[in-house]
Amino acid sequence: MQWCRGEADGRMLIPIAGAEKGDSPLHRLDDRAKLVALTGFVVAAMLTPTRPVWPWLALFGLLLVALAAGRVKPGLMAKRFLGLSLVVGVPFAVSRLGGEATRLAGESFAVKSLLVAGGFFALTATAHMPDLLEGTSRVPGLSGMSALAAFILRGANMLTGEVVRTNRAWALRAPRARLGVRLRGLVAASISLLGRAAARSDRVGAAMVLRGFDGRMPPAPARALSAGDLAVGLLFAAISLAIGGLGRWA
Amino acid sequence: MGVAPVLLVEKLSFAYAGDGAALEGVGFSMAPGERVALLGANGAGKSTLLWCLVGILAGRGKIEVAGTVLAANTKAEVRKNLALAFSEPDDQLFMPTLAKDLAFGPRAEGDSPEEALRKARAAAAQVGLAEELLPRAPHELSSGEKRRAALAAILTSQPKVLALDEPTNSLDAPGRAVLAETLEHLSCAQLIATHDVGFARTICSRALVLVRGQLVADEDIEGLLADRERLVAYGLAAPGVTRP
Repeated sequence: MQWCRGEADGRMLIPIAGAEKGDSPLHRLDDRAKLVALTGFVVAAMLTPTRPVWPWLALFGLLLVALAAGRVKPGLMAKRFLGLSLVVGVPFAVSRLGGEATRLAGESFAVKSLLVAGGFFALTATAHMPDLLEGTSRVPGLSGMSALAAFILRGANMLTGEVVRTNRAWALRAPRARLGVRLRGLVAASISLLGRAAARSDRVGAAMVLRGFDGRMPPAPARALSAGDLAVGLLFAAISLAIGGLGRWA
Repeated sequence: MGVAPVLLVEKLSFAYAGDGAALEGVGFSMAPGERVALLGANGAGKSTLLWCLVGILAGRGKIEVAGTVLAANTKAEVRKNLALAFSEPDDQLFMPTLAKDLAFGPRAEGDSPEEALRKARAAAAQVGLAEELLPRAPHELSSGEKRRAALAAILTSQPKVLALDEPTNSLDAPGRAVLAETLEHLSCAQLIATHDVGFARTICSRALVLVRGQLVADEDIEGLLADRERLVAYGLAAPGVTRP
């Protein structure tokens, strides 16, 4: 299921945490086990030093195994990495102009970003984001954060919808406009979009209050995490951490 | 009226900051189970009145719902008895799935997950929403389904008064017919704010008319609709069009 489905007939689609329907082993794995695995993977990516190169390759290999287990379509990942490439690519390119330390820092930033984002993409492509948020709402201390995240995500979802609709309006009113013109128009429109999103958030807040919301989200019912799923999550995290640890200290 | 009113509004006034009066001395009452159309052109003050009734906007005057006078310490009680359906159902559906959205109110009231889900299912059935829709995300529903979902969401609190703000917005003719049938089957009193005079006529027997924040008519809807000159004067019909 595409939780945040784009409707922009392929134009300037911004996929936010869109999941794909499927019945792969990764889809079937409990979301909490996936979060454990992702946490280990992210820590390992952060631990791993810039040199030697083999730990990076091993972590990318591990990521590929996860993507294969989730039968994630290469096209979806390519689209997401393409969106990320601007954020990562520009600082990386700039770092190449500096000395050796700067170049190494640029490489480290790029590789770590790609690994962390790749792990996040693998998770969100095979898990329904609201389920993930619901899962975190059961963790003591994280429930407030998950409610906030749900609110932000809903806001992002609305904003995406507004961007898509604005883009459609652009496409209809100026079908031959160059991409640059459209982008400039979109930037200008985003100010009013934010205003509209804020106004809508206000109304959503009122709807919540009118239905009895008192600042606390109703707790979600607990669901048992199977030992098998937890073991898979822990195993993935342990392998990631072993790679990161060996890269740093071996 | 022999029966005690379920909604009583007296001398209600409200002004937005920096603007003139949006409501001025509005007063009316509704009997239990009564369906009343709140008519008026765009900007007449219909939505403002509804927001005042639930205490989101603080007007001057008296609002009493099912015997409880609206005040700072009675808002929760009033909101339980008077539920408001927004003009945009998208603003009212905020949980990840329809089932969770419908269960939100009961859960906030302290019901167990099972009881909340039971109420959610009952409310969905009440407005004719198929059970298969419950696991879906609200934004994936059609306009008509969203409208009924928003209605179901507020019906879970079993309100005594239902206030609806422009309920026919973005609905096609079959959607309007389904909505009319749904509303006709609800036993609670209904205040339906709309500029859709045809829809109001199908389900309401009485009409209130707001013009620039003032209540200018409170009468039988058929009598009002028969008076074309007044409809034009109230902004409810365009000059030169024979039927509203």
